[in-house]
Amino acid sequence: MSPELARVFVLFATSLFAALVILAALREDAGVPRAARRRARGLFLAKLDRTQRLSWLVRRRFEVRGSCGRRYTIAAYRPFNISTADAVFCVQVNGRIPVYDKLLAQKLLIEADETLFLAHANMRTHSRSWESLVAAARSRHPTLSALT
Amino acid sequence: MEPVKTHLLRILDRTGDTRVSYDPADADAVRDVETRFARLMSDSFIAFDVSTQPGRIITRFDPQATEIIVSPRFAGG
Repeated sequence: MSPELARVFVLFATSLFAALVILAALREDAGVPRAARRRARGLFLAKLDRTQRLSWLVRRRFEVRGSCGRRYTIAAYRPFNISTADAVFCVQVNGRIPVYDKLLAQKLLIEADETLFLAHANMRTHSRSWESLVAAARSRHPTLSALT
Repeated sequence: MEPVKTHLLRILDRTGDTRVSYDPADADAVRDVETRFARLMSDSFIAFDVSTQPGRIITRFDPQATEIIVSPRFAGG
């Protein structure tokens, strides 16, 4: 493959990925009135601290500290939008509510009860330490196992 | 005199959020909010007392919490 063709392919793949992310976000909020989205955004931003708010506005992601002290990054709402350096997590918020409400709920859950978050989460990692942490969390919340 | 509604229950829903403010000294109002809260809990909602930072999960209504946010349940993706 020529370098020029490779560049075109990379550009196409990147654009396609970006379009899919945007479409997923739009579909997630489909049917939610604009006023509700605006209201949810206001509440979400109000519940972020100054650093988190700035990070969200500039980079569309922000960091939260879990109740056990670990740090997580929450990005735009989609599957596996929560990450650490060596793992990604998926926790969905049920219900047809604005995505900003769902982001707020994710933040509150991690900050209030990191173990419950880990028990709920579907996780992808190569780290054995995360696997054992999640297993321990699920053993503390056995009724959640069927959900994940 | 109009009661001072200093406390707030927010329910995340399709409208963004539904806000129920109440005066913790008003026993009738507290009872109404408590009933609403209990109904949400029985529907598997999850409640965060965000009066302090960080917030905490509560399963029973705390009339002294100045702000409670109730969210639909979570599920692994």
